[in-house]
Amino acid sequence: MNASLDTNSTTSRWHIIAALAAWLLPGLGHILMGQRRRGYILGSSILGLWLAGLVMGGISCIEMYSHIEIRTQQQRSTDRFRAWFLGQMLLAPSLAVAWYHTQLRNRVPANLSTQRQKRNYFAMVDYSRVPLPDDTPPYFEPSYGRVNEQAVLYTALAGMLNLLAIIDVLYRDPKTELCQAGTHVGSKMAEIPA
Amino acid sequence: MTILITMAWRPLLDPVHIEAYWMVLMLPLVVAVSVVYKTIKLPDLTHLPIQVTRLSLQILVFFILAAAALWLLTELG
Repeated sequence: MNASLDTNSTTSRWHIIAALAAWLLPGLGHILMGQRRRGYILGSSILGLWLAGLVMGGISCIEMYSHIEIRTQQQRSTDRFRAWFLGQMLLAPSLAVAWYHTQLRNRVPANLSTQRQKRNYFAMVDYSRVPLPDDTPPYFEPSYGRVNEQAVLYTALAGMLNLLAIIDVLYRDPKTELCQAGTHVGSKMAEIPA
Repeated sequence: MTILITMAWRPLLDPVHIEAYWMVLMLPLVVAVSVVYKTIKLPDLTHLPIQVTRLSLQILVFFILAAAALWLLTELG
């Protein structure tokens, strides 16, 4: 195994690869460090929370920008960065979902040919539920109100909890690890070998 | 409106309309926070369920106390 992932080492404190793995998939960092049980519990709870949020709010709960206007080429600059995305992006799968959401948002159904139809479609996808006259179903239904708030909260909190897990594997103090392994006597820690 | 209502629910693409249950949905959130925090913090995971239950209850009690304090502040203030 990589030296940086060796938990028994008293000199290696920074575990960059494990932290990166934890960002890619929650719990994977701990599993790579040899703490399988801890990794499985962290992975299932963080991913469960994130998935619950995604199921609740749908794909529209993870997006980098909030689209506050009916979009035309000129109005795209009015899109505002969503601060919640900073929390959501602490879990790598959120980036993939945000990318896919943007793809779907910008995709126009093939049967909409006129500019007016396209504009109406974007208006529906962005912030209203008014259906198109020719019954074109959207690629996804946006979530609003409490459902959207709850879904954003779930996914962002999953990301922030994943940050705790990332920090936990990123830096390991050998003294603390020996204490955690039960090598301390009373309040005194065992002497760390040089 | 009729289209979106009659259209079948597509998982991960369409939201679940559970506006009425938002307060109940705080419970899994509290449990998840407790599980992750305690899993990281505890050196030995044998007592994890007890510790998670205790922390979850503590968070819930403080939620209720905070809600009561804010209610008093808005009602009496």
